[in-house]
Amino acid sequence: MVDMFWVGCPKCRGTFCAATRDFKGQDREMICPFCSHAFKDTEGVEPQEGTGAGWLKTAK
Amino acid sequence: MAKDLRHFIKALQEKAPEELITVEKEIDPRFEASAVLQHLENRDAFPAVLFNKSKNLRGESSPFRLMSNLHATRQKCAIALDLEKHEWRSELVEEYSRRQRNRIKPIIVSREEAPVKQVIRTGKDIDLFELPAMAIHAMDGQAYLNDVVIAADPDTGVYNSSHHRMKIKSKTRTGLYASPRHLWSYFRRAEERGEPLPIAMVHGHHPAIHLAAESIVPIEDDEYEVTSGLLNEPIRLVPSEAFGDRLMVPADAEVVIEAEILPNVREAEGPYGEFTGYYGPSRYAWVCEVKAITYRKDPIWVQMFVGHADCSIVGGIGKEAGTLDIIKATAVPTVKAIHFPISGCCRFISYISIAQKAEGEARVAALASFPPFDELKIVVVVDEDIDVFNERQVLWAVATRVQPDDGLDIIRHVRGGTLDPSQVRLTDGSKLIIDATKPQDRPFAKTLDIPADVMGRIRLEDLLSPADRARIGI
Ligand SMILES: [Zn+2]
Repeated sequence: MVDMFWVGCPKCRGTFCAATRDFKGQDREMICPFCSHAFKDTEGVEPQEGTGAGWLKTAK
Repeated sequence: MAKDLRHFIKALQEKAPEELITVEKEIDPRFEASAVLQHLENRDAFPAVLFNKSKNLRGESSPFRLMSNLHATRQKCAIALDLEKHEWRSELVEEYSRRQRNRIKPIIVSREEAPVKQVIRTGKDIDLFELPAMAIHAMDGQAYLNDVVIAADPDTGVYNSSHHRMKIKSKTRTGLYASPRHLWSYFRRAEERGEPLPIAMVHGHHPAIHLAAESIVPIEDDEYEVTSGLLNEPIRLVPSEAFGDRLMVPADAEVVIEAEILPNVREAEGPYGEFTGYYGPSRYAWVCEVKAITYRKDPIWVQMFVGHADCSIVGGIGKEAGTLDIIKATAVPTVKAIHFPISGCCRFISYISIAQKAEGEARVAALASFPPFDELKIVVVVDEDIDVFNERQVLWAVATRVQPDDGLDIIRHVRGGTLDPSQVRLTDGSKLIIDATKPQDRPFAKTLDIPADVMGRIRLEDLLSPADRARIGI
Protein backbone atom coordinates (compact mmCIF):
# COMPACT_ATOMS: atom_id res chain seq x y z
CA MET A 1 0.00 0.00 0.00
CA VAL A 2 1.05 3.55 -0.53
CA ASP A 3 2.95 5.17 2.38
CA MET A 4 0.57 6.96 4.70
CA PHE A 5 0.58 9.24 7.71
CA TRP A 6 -1.91 10.11 10.42
CA VAL A 7 -3.19 13.66 10.61
CA GLY A 8 -5.56 15.57 12.88
CA CYS A 9 -8.13 18.01 11.50
CA PRO A 10 -7.53 21.54 12.87
CA LYS A 11 -11.28 22.19 12.95
CA CYS A 12 -12.89 19.08 14.50
CA ARG A 13 -9.65 17.35 15.63
CA GLY A 14 -10.81 14.13 14.00
CA THR A 15 -7.91 11.88 13.04
CA PHE A 16 -7.57 10.17 9.68
CA CYS A 17 -4.97 8.67 7.34
CA ALA A 18 -3.65 10.22 4.13
CA ALA A 19 -1.15 9.15 1.46
CA THR A 20 2.31 10.63 2.08
CA ARG A 21 3.16 11.03 -1.62
CA ASP A 22 -0.09 12.88 -2.29
CA PHE A 23 -0.14 15.37 0.61
CA LYS A 24 3.09 15.51 2.65
CA GLY A 25 5.04 18.59 1.64
CA GLN A 26 2.65 19.19 -1.24
CA ASP A 27 0.69 22.37 -1.71
CA ARG A 28 -2.54 20.41 -1.73
CA GLU A 29 -5.54 20.44 0.55
CA MET A 30 -6.74 17.38 2.40
CA ILE A 31 -10.43 17.16 3.24
CA CYS A 32 -11.45 15.98 6.71
CA PRO A 33 -13.84 13.03 6.30
CA PHE A 34 -15.72 14.05 9.44
CA CYS A 35 -16.37 17.78 8.99
CA SER A 36 -15.27 18.37 5.35
CA HIS A 37 -12.80 21.07 6.43
CA ALA A 38 -10.05 21.55 3.82
CA PHE A 39 -6.49 22.03 5.07
CA LYS A 40 -2.86 21.45 4.12
CA ASP A 41 -0.59 19.05 5.97
CA THR A 42 1.28 21.95 7.58
CA GLU A 43 -2.02 23.04 9.17
CA GLY A 44 -2.86 19.59 10.55
CA VAL A 45 -2.83 19.05 14.29
CA GLU A 46 -1.15 16.19 16.12
CA PRO A 47 -3.25 13.04 15.71
CA GLN A 48 -4.41 11.96 19.14
CA GLU A 49 -6.24 8.82 20.04
CA GLY A 50 -9.75 9.50 21.19
CA THR A 51 -9.80 13.19 20.31
CA GLY A 52 -11.71 13.03 17.06
CA ALA A 53 -15.03 11.80 15.84
CA GLY A 54 -13.45 8.96 13.98
CA TRP A 55 -10.42 7.60 15.75
CA LEU A 56 -10.49 3.97 14.61
CA LYS A 57 -13.60 3.23 16.62
CA THR A 58 -14.19 0.00 14.77
CA ALA A 59 -10.63 -1.26 15.12
CA LYS A 60 -10.65 -1.48 18.90
CA MET B 1 -38.41 -10.95 -19.13
CA ALA B 2 -34.78 -9.81 -19.09
CA LYS B 3 -32.64 -10.82 -16.13
CA ASP B 4 -32.35 -7.98 -13.67
CA LEU B 5 -32.32 -7.38 -9.92
CA ARG B 6 -36.05 -8.24 -9.60
CA HIS B 7 -35.47 -11.53 -11.41
CA PHE B 8 -32.66 -12.36 -8.98
CA ILE B 9 -34.71 -11.45 -5.89
CA LYS B 10 -37.47 -13.78 -7.13
CA ALA B 11 -34.93 -16.57 -7.67
CA LEU B 12 -33.63 -16.09 -4.12
CA GLN B 13 -37.15 -16.20 -2.70
CA GLU B 14 -37.84 -19.45 -4.55
CA LYS B 15 -34.52 -21.26 -4.17
CA ALA B 16 -33.09 -19.96 -0.90
CA PRO B 17 -35.55 -17.88 1.11
CA GLU B 18 -33.14 -17.91 4.05
CA GLU B 19 -30.76 -15.83 1.92
CA LEU B 20 -33.00 -12.74 1.88
CA ILE B 21 -34.41 -10.72 4.76
CA THR B 22 -36.31 -7.44 4.79
CA VAL B 23 -36.24 -4.56 7.24
CA GLU B 24 -39.44 -2.53 7.45
CA LYS B 25 -38.36 0.12 9.93
CA GLU B 26 -36.89 3.20 8.25
CA ILE B 27 -33.11 3.36 8.46
CA ASP B 28 -30.52 6.01 7.73
CA PRO B 29 -28.02 4.99 5.01
CA ARG B 30 -25.37 6.89 6.95
CA PHE B 31 -23.92 4.10 9.13
CA GLU B 32 -27.26 2.59 10.25
CA ALA B 33 -27.54 0.20 7.29
CA SER B 34 -23.93 -0.93 7.74
CA ALA B 35 -24.55 -1.35 11.49
CA VAL B 36 -27.36 -3.78 10.65
CA LEU B 37 -25.05 -5.70 8.30
CA GLN B 38 -22.24 -5.73 10.88
CA HIS B 39 -24.59 -7.07 13.58
CA LEU B 40 -25.62 -9.86 11.21
CA GLU B 41 -21.98 -10.62 10.39
CA ASN B 42 -21.14 -10.74 14.10
CA ARG B 43 -23.69 -13.57 14.28
CA ASP B 44 -22.21 -15.30 11.21
CA ALA B 45 -25.31 -14.39 9.18
CA PHE B 46 -24.90 -13.05 5.64
CA PRO B 47 -28.36 -12.74 4.04
CA ALA B 48 -29.10 -10.13 1.41
CA VAL B 49 -30.93 -7.34 3.22
CA LEU B 50 -33.70 -5.30 1.62
CA PHE B 51 -34.44 -2.13 3.59
CA ASN B 52 -37.95 -1.26 2.49
CA LYS B 53 -37.77 2.25 3.95
CA SER B 54 -34.68 4.38 3.83
CA LYS B 55 -33.81 7.99 4.39
CA ASN B 56 -31.81 9.92 1.83
CA LEU B 57 -28.63 11.88 2.54
CA ARG B 58 -30.68 14.89 3.58
CA GLY B 59 -32.30 12.85 6.35
CA GLU B 60 -35.65 12.79 4.54
CA SER B 61 -37.74 9.70 3.74
CA SER B 62 -36.59 8.40 0.36
CA PRO B 63 -38.69 6.81 -2.40
CA PHE B 64 -35.73 4.47 -2.96
CA ARG B 65 -35.52 1.13 -1.20
CA LEU B 66 -31.98 0.13 -0.19
CA MET B 67 -30.42 -3.30 -0.65
CA SER B 68 -27.04 -4.73 0.29
CA ASN B 69 -25.19 -8.01 0.92
CA LEU B 70 -26.41 -9.27 -2.47
CA HIS B 71 -23.29 -11.41 -2.98
CA ALA B 72 -22.34 -12.15 0.63
CA THR B 73 -22.54 -15.93 0.24
CA ARG B 74 -21.40 -18.23 -2.54
CA GLN B 75 -24.86 -19.77 -2.38
CA LYS B 76 -26.41 -16.50 -3.61
CA CYS B 77 -23.81 -16.26 -6.39
CA ALA B 78 -24.61 -19.84 -7.42
CA ILE B 79 -28.28 -18.90 -7.73
CA ALA B 80 -27.26 -15.84 -9.78
CA LEU B 81 -25.71 -18.23 -12.30
CA ASP B 82 -28.89 -20.37 -12.35
CA LEU B 83 -27.34 -23.13 -10.22
CA GLU B 84 -28.84 -24.61 -7.07
CA LYS B 85 -27.74 -23.22 -3.73
CA HIS B 86 -25.73 -26.32 -2.84
CA GLU B 87 -23.63 -25.96 -6.01
CA TRP B 88 -21.37 -23.28 -4.55
CA ARG B 89 -17.97 -24.99 -4.71
CA SER B 90 -16.27 -26.04 -7.96
CA GLU B 91 -19.63 -26.21 -9.75
CA LEU B 92 -19.87 -22.44 -9.38
CA VAL B 93 -16.29 -21.85 -10.54
CA GLU B 94 -16.76 -24.11 -13.56
CA GLU B 95 -20.10 -22.53 -14.50
CA TYR B 96 -18.56 -19.06 -14.25
CA SER B 97 -15.67 -20.23 -16.42
CA ARG B 98 -18.00 -21.75 -19.03
CA ARG B 99 -20.23 -18.68 -19.20
CA GLN B 100 -17.32 -16.24 -19.22
CA ARG B 101 -15.88 -17.92 -22.31
CA ASN B 102 -19.30 -17.88 -24.00
CA ARG B 103 -19.31 -14.23 -25.02
CA ILE B 104 -22.71 -12.86 -26.09
CA LYS B 105 -23.28 -9.54 -27.88
CA PRO B 106 -25.56 -7.10 -26.02
CA ILE B 107 -28.77 -5.91 -27.66
CA ILE B 108 -29.93 -2.32 -27.97
CA VAL B 109 -33.42 -1.31 -26.90
CA SER B 110 -35.34 1.96 -27.16
CA ARG B 111 -35.69 4.40 -24.27
CA GLU B 112 -39.36 3.46 -24.04
CA GLU B 113 -38.41 -0.17 -23.44
CA ALA B 114 -35.82 0.69 -20.78
CA PRO B 115 -37.07 0.61 -17.17
CA VAL B 116 -34.07 2.68 -16.09
CA LYS B 117 -35.43 5.60 -18.13
CA GLN B 118 -38.73 5.83 -16.21
CA VAL B 119 -37.40 8.81 -14.24
CA ILE B 120 -34.76 11.12 -15.73
CA ARG B 121 -32.96 13.83 -13.81
CA THR B 122 -30.69 16.25 -15.63
CA GLY B 123 -29.36 19.78 -15.12
CA LYS B 124 -30.61 21.48 -11.96
CA ASP B 125 -32.67 18.39 -11.04
CA ILE B 126 -29.54 16.37 -10.27
CA ASP B 127 -29.02 15.93 -6.54
CA LEU B 128 -26.87 13.07 -5.27
CA PHE B 129 -28.00 13.85 -1.71
CA GLU B 130 -31.48 12.61 -2.64
CA LEU B 131 -30.04 9.10 -2.93
CA PRO B 132 -29.84 6.57 -0.08
CA ALA B 133 -26.10 6.14 -0.64
CA MET B 134 -24.43 4.44 2.30
CA ALA B 135 -21.77 5.82 4.59
CA ILE B 136 -20.35 2.48 5.69
CA HIS B 137 -17.38 2.76 8.06
CA ALA B 138 -16.50 5.30 10.73
CA MET B 139 -13.51 6.90 9.02
CA ASP B 140 -15.28 7.04 5.63
CA GLY B 141 -17.07 9.93 7.27
CA GLN B 142 -19.35 10.59 4.31
CA ALA B 143 -21.46 8.60 1.85
CA TYR B 144 -19.85 6.96 -1.16
CA LEU B 145 -21.00 5.34 -4.35
CA ASN B 146 -19.23 2.01 -4.71
CA ASP B 147 -20.93 -0.16 -7.27
CA VAL B 148 -20.14 -0.89 -10.90
CA VAL B 149 -18.52 1.81 -13.04
CA ILE B 150 -18.86 1.33 -16.80
CA ALA B 151 -16.82 3.15 -19.43
CA ALA B 152 -16.02 2.81 -23.12
CA ASP B 153 -12.40 2.69 -24.28
CA PRO B 154 -11.77 6.13 -25.84
CA ASP B 155 -9.90 4.51 -28.75
CA THR B 156 -11.73 1.25 -29.42
CA GLY B 157 -15.17 1.71 -27.85
CA VAL B 158 -14.78 -1.58 -25.99
CA TYR B 159 -16.52 -1.51 -22.61
CA ASN B 160 -14.93 -2.02 -19.19
CA SER B 161 -16.76 -2.55 -15.92
CA SER B 162 -15.11 -2.34 -12.51
CA HIS B 163 -15.78 -1.45 -8.89
CA HIS B 164 -14.56 1.89 -7.48
CA ARG B 165 -15.02 4.08 -4.46
CA MET B 166 -16.59 7.45 -5.28
CA LYS B 167 -17.07 9.96 -2.50
CA ILE B 168 -20.16 12.15 -2.84
CA LYS B 169 -18.79 15.70 -2.65
CA SER B 170 -21.77 17.83 -3.70
CA LYS B 171 -25.12 17.55 -5.49
CA THR B 172 -23.33 16.88 -8.78
CA ARG B 173 -19.74 16.02 -7.92
CA THR B 174 -17.95 12.88 -6.75
CA GLY B 175 -14.42 11.67 -6.34
CA LEU B 176 -13.16 8.46 -7.92
CA TYR B 177 -10.13 6.41 -6.93
CA ALA B 178 -8.83 3.82 -9.40
CA SER B 179 -5.85 1.48 -9.24
CA PRO B 180 -3.82 1.32 -12.47
CA ARG B 181 -5.99 -1.12 -14.41
CA HIS B 182 -8.34 -0.83 -17.35
CA LEU B 183 -10.37 2.25 -16.32
CA TRP B 184 -7.12 3.98 -15.36
CA SER B 185 -5.79 3.30 -18.87
CA TYR B 186 -8.99 4.61 -20.49
CA PHE B 187 -8.89 7.87 -18.54
CA ARG B 188 -5.15 8.41 -18.97
CA ARG B 189 -5.59 8.31 -22.75
CA ALA B 190 -8.64 10.60 -22.68
CA GLU B 191 -6.86 13.03 -20.38
CA GLU B 192 -3.81 13.19 -22.65
CA ARG B 193 -6.15 14.61 -25.29
CA GLY B 194 -7.62 17.02 -22.76
CA GLU B 195 -10.95 15.20 -22.89
CA PRO B 196 -13.25 14.01 -20.10
CA LEU B 197 -14.12 10.31 -19.91
CA PRO B 198 -17.85 9.48 -19.81
CA ILE B 199 -18.78 6.86 -17.23
CA ALA B 200 -21.95 5.26 -15.91
CA MET B 201 -22.34 4.09 -12.34
CA VAL B 202 -24.85 1.27 -12.01
CA HIS B 203 -26.50 0.84 -8.62
CA GLY B 204 -28.81 -2.14 -8.88
CA HIS B 205 -28.92 -4.84 -11.53
CA HIS B 206 -28.56 -8.60 -11.72
CA PRO B 207 -25.48 -9.82 -9.79
CA ALA B 208 -23.94 -10.95 -13.10
CA ILE B 209 -22.94 -7.34 -13.71
CA HIS B 210 -20.93 -7.36 -10.47
CA LEU B 211 -19.45 -10.79 -11.12
CA ALA B 212 -18.35 -9.62 -14.59
CA ALA B 213 -16.77 -6.47 -13.15
CA GLU B 214 -14.39 -8.73 -11.21
CA SER B 215 -13.49 -11.02 -14.11
CA ILE B 216 -9.90 -11.52 -15.27
CA VAL B 217 -10.08 -10.59 -18.95
CA PRO B 218 -7.69 -8.66 -21.22
CA ILE B 219 -8.27 -4.96 -21.80
CA GLU B 220 -9.30 -5.74 -25.40
CA ASP B 221 -12.30 -7.80 -24.24
CA ASP B 222 -15.73 -6.18 -24.00
CA GLU B 223 -17.12 -6.64 -20.50
CA TYR B 224 -20.74 -6.11 -21.60
CA GLU B 225 -20.16 -9.31 -23.60
CA VAL B 226 -18.72 -10.97 -20.48
CA THR B 227 -21.76 -9.80 -18.49
CA SER B 228 -24.05 -11.20 -21.16
CA GLY B 229 -22.18 -14.49 -21.04
CA LEU B 230 -22.63 -14.67 -17.28
CA LEU B 231 -26.31 -13.77 -17.64
CA ASN B 232 -26.58 -16.45 -20.34
CA GLU B 233 -28.54 -13.94 -22.41
CA PRO B 234 -27.74 -10.57 -24.03
CA ILE B 235 -27.70 -7.66 -21.63
CA ARG B 236 -30.10 -4.95 -22.85
CA LEU B 237 -28.45 -1.59 -23.40
CA VAL B 238 -29.84 1.86 -24.11
CA PRO B 239 -28.08 5.13 -25.07
CA SER B 240 -27.16 7.34 -22.13
CA GLU B 241 -28.93 10.67 -21.64
CA ALA B 242 -25.77 12.77 -21.55
CA PHE B 243 -23.57 11.00 -24.09
CA GLY B 244 -26.01 9.22 -26.43
CA ASP B 245 -24.61 6.10 -28.04
CA ARG B 246 -21.04 7.08 -27.06
CA LEU B 247 -21.91 5.48 -23.73
CA MET B 248 -24.48 2.72 -23.67
CA VAL B 249 -25.97 1.92 -20.27
CA PRO B 250 -27.86 -1.11 -18.91
CA ALA B 251 -31.56 -0.68 -19.71
CA ASP B 252 -32.68 -2.96 -16.88
CA ALA B 253 -30.70 -1.29 -14.11
CA GLU B 254 -32.43 0.18 -11.09
CA VAL B 255 -30.36 3.38 -11.11
CA VAL B 256 -27.74 4.73 -13.52
CA ILE B 257 -25.66 7.80 -12.74
CA GLU B 258 -24.01 9.29 -15.83
CA ALA B 259 -20.91 11.40 -15.26
CA GLU B 260 -17.63 12.61 -16.72
CA ILE B 261 -14.23 12.11 -15.14
CA LEU B 262 -12.76 15.58 -15.51
CA PRO B 263 -9.34 15.96 -17.19
CA ASN B 264 -6.56 17.63 -15.21
CA VAL B 265 -8.61 17.90 -12.03
CA ARG B 266 -7.57 16.19 -8.79
CA GLU B 267 -8.93 16.58 -5.28
CA ALA B 268 -8.61 14.83 -1.94
CA GLU B 269 -10.70 11.65 -1.79
CA GLY B 270 -10.94 9.10 1.01
CA PRO B 271 -9.94 7.65 3.47
CA TYR B 272 -12.18 4.71 2.73
CA GLY B 273 -12.82 1.28 4.24
CA GLU B 274 -11.44 -1.00 1.53
CA PHE B 275 -11.92 -4.65 0.57
CA THR B 276 -8.89 -5.54 2.67
CA GLY B 277 -10.74 -4.84 5.92
CA TYR B 278 -8.55 -1.74 6.50
CA TYR B 279 -8.91 1.90 5.66
CA GLY B 280 -7.13 3.00 2.52
CA PRO B 281 -5.64 6.48 3.02
CA SER B 282 -6.94 9.68 1.50
CA ARG B 283 -5.59 10.10 -2.03
CA TYR B 284 -5.32 12.98 -4.48
CA ALA B 285 -7.75 11.45 -6.93
CA TRP B 286 -9.98 11.99 -9.93
CA VAL B 287 -13.12 14.10 -9.84
CA CYS B 288 -16.41 13.36 -11.62
CA GLU B 289 -19.20 15.72 -12.64
CA VAL B 290 -22.63 14.08 -12.81
CA LYS B 291 -24.63 14.81 -15.96
CA ALA B 292 -27.75 12.70 -15.46
CA ILE B 293 -29.40 10.30 -13.01
CA THR B 294 -31.98 7.88 -14.37
CA TYR B 295 -33.95 5.27 -12.46
CA ARG B 296 -37.06 3.16 -12.23
CA LYS B 297 -40.30 4.48 -10.72
CA ASP B 298 -39.99 2.12 -7.74
CA PRO B 299 -36.19 2.02 -7.50
CA ILE B 300 -34.08 -0.28 -5.36
CA TRP B 301 -30.69 1.27 -4.64
CA VAL B 302 -28.10 -1.49 -4.31
CA GLN B 303 -24.83 -0.84 -2.56
CA MET B 304 -22.02 -3.22 -1.75
CA PHE B 305 -20.94 -3.79 1.87
CA VAL B 306 -17.29 -3.17 1.05
CA GLY B 307 -14.64 -4.75 3.25
CA HIS B 308 -16.96 -7.64 4.12
CA ALA B 309 -18.21 -10.88 2.58
CA ASP B 310 -20.43 -9.06 0.06
CA CYS B 311 -17.37 -7.51 -1.54
CA SER B 312 -14.93 -10.39 -1.00
CA ILE B 313 -17.03 -13.17 -2.49
CA VAL B 314 -18.20 -11.36 -5.60
CA GLY B 315 -14.56 -10.59 -6.36
CA GLY B 316 -13.25 -14.06 -5.69
CA ILE B 317 -15.34 -16.18 -8.02
CA GLY B 318 -14.14 -14.52 -11.21
CA LYS B 319 -10.55 -14.79 -9.96
CA GLU B 320 -11.02 -18.48 -9.29
CA ALA B 321 -12.49 -19.14 -12.73
CA GLY B 322 -9.94 -17.01 -14.61
CA THR B 323 -6.98 -18.49 -12.76
CA LEU B 324 -8.23 -22.05 -13.13
CA ASP B 325 -8.56 -21.57 -16.89
CA ILE B 326 -5.04 -20.16 -17.17
CA ILE B 327 -3.44 -22.94 -15.09
CA LYS B 328 -5.32 -25.59 -17.06
CA ALA B 329 -4.43 -24.10 -20.43
CA THR B 330 -0.83 -23.11 -19.83
CA ALA B 331 0.65 -24.99 -16.89
CA VAL B 332 -0.93 -28.06 -15.34
CA PRO B 333 -3.81 -29.65 -17.28
CA THR B 334 -4.55 -31.91 -14.31
CA VAL B 335 -5.48 -29.01 -12.03
CA LYS B 336 -8.61 -30.04 -10.18
CA ALA B 337 -9.96 -27.10 -8.21
CA ILE B 338 -9.12 -23.61 -6.98
CA HIS B 339 -10.44 -21.45 -4.20
CA PHE B 340 -9.71 -17.89 -3.08
CA PRO B 341 -10.81 -18.18 0.58
CA ILE B 342 -12.55 -15.41 2.43
CA SER B 343 -9.77 -15.51 5.03
CA GLY B 344 -7.64 -13.89 2.31
CA CYS B 345 -10.35 -11.39 1.31
CA CYS B 346 -10.92 -13.73 -1.70
CA ARG B 347 -7.93 -11.93 -3.28
CA PHE B 348 -4.62 -12.48 -1.46
CA ILE B 349 -4.58 -16.27 -0.94
CA SER B 350 -5.47 -19.17 -3.21
CA TYR B 351 -5.74 -22.89 -2.60
CA ILE B 352 -5.15 -25.03 -5.69
CA SER B 353 -5.55 -28.80 -5.91
CA ILE B 354 -3.83 -30.80 -8.62
CA ALA B 355 -3.45 -34.42 -9.62
CA GLN B 356 0.32 -34.21 -9.60
CA LYS B 357 1.88 -36.45 -12.25
CA ALA B 358 5.47 -35.25 -11.98
CA GLU B 359 7.66 -33.49 -9.42
CA GLY B 360 7.50 -29.73 -9.85
CA GLU B 361 3.96 -29.41 -11.15
CA ALA B 362 2.79 -27.81 -7.92
CA ARG B 363 5.26 -24.95 -8.38
CA VAL B 364 4.30 -24.58 -12.04
CA ALA B 365 0.61 -24.30 -11.11
CA ALA B 366 1.44 -21.69 -8.47
CA LEU B 367 3.67 -19.64 -10.76
CA ALA B 368 1.05 -19.60 -13.53
CA SER B 369 -1.54 -18.17 -11.15
CA PHE B 370 0.34 -14.96 -10.27
CA PRO B 371 0.58 -12.95 -13.53
CA PRO B 372 -3.11 -12.32 -14.21
CA PHE B 373 -3.90 -10.87 -10.82
CA ASP B 374 -1.55 -8.62 -8.82
CA GLU B 375 -3.24 -8.98 -5.43
CA LEU B 376 -2.62 -12.74 -5.23
CA LYS B 377 0.22 -13.16 -2.73
CA ILE B 378 0.13 -16.64 -1.18
CA VAL B 379 -0.58 -19.82 -3.12
CA VAL B 380 -1.01 -23.17 -1.40
CA VAL B 381 -0.97 -26.18 -3.71
CA VAL B 382 -2.44 -29.43 -2.42
CA ASP B 383 -3.17 -32.91 -3.76
CA GLU B 384 -6.54 -33.79 -5.20
CA ASP B 385 -7.61 -35.61 -2.02
CA ILE B 386 -7.81 -32.22 -0.28
CA ASP B 387 -11.00 -30.16 -0.63
CA VAL B 388 -9.80 -26.61 -1.37
CA PHE B 389 -13.13 -25.25 -0.13
CA ASN B 390 -12.42 -26.76 3.30
CA GLU B 391 -9.78 -24.55 4.92
CA ARG B 392 -9.26 -27.04 7.74
CA GLN B 393 -8.27 -29.71 5.22
CA VAL B 394 -5.94 -27.31 3.42
CA LEU B 395 -4.16 -26.32 6.62
CA TRP B 396 -3.96 -30.00 7.64
CA ALA B 397 -2.14 -30.65 4.38
CA VAL B 398 0.20 -27.75 5.11
CA ALA B 399 0.77 -29.09 8.62
CA THR B 400 1.51 -32.66 7.56
CA ARG B 401 2.97 -32.48 4.03
CA VAL B 402 5.27 -29.46 4.25
CA GLN B 403 8.72 -29.00 5.72
CA PRO B 404 9.38 -25.27 5.73
CA ASP B 405 12.97 -25.63 4.48
CA ASP B 406 11.79 -27.49 1.39
CA GLY B 407 8.12 -26.71 0.71
CA LEU B 408 8.23 -22.92 0.65
CA ASP B 409 9.39 -20.48 -2.02
CA ILE B 410 9.45 -16.72 -1.74
CA ILE B 411 9.64 -14.57 -4.87
CA ARG B 412 10.74 -11.03 -4.08
CA HIS B 413 10.12 -7.74 -5.90
CA VAL B 414 7.06 -8.77 -7.85
CA ARG B 415 4.13 -6.52 -8.72
CA GLY B 416 1.67 -6.71 -5.85
CA GLY B 417 -1.65 -5.31 -4.70
CA THR B 418 -1.70 -1.54 -4.24
CA LEU B 419 -4.17 -1.77 -1.35
CA ASP B 420 -2.33 -4.50 0.58
CA PRO B 421 -1.50 -2.83 3.93
CA SER B 422 1.50 -5.11 4.48
CA GLN B 423 3.17 -4.06 1.23
CA VAL B 424 5.78 -1.39 1.94
CA ARG B 425 6.25 -0.12 -1.61
CA LEU B 426 3.23 0.84 -3.73
CA THR B 427 3.44 -1.86 -6.39
CA ASP B 428 6.53 -3.86 -5.37
CA GLY B 429 5.56 -6.90 -3.31
CA SER B 430 6.53 -10.51 -2.80
CA LYS B 431 4.87 -13.86 -3.31
CA LEU B 432 4.83 -17.08 -1.26
CA ILE B 433 4.32 -20.55 -2.70
CA ILE B 434 3.53 -23.38 -0.29
CA ASP B 435 3.82 -26.76 -1.95
CA ALA B 436 1.69 -28.97 0.29
CA THR B 437 1.55 -31.87 -2.13
CA LYS B 438 2.97 -35.26 -1.27
CA PRO B 439 6.47 -35.94 -2.65
CA GLN B 440 6.65 -37.96 -5.87
CA ASP B 441 10.14 -39.35 -5.31
CA ARG B 442 9.67 -41.36 -2.10
CA PRO B 443 6.98 -43.37 -0.32
CA PHE B 444 4.72 -41.15 1.76
CA ALA B 445 2.45 -41.91 4.71
CA LYS B 446 -1.03 -43.10 3.78
CA THR B 447 -4.07 -41.11 4.86
CA LEU B 448 -6.29 -42.83 7.46
CA ASP B 449 -9.41 -44.57 6.27
CA ILE B 450 -12.18 -46.91 7.46
CA PRO B 451 -12.76 -50.08 5.40
CA ALA B 452 -14.83 -48.94 2.44
CA ASP B 453 -17.29 -51.85 2.54
CA VAL B 454 -18.09 -51.11 6.18
CA MET B 455 -18.51 -47.41 5.50
CA GLY B 456 -21.01 -48.31 2.77
CA ARG B 457 -22.91 -50.70 5.03
CA ILE B 458 -23.14 -48.59 8.16
CA ARG B 459 -25.75 -45.82 7.95
CA LEU B 460 -26.37 -43.29 10.70
CA GLU B 461 -30.02 -43.18 9.69
CA ASP B 462 -30.33 -46.83 10.74
CA LEU B 463 -28.57 -46.38 14.08
CA LEU B 464 -29.44 -43.02 15.56
CA SER B 465 -32.79 -41.93 16.97
CA PRO B 466 -34.58 -39.08 15.17
CA ALA B 467 -33.95 -36.93 18.26
CA ASP B 468 -30.19 -37.54 18.18
CA ARG B 469 -30.06 -36.99 14.41
CA ALA B 470 -31.92 -33.71 14.81
CA ARG B 471 -29.60 -32.69 17.65
CA ILE B 472 -26.50 -33.11 15.47
CA GLY B 473 -28.17 -31.79 12.34
CA ILE B 474 -28.33 -34.83 10.05
ZN1 LIG C 1 -12.68 17.85 10.68
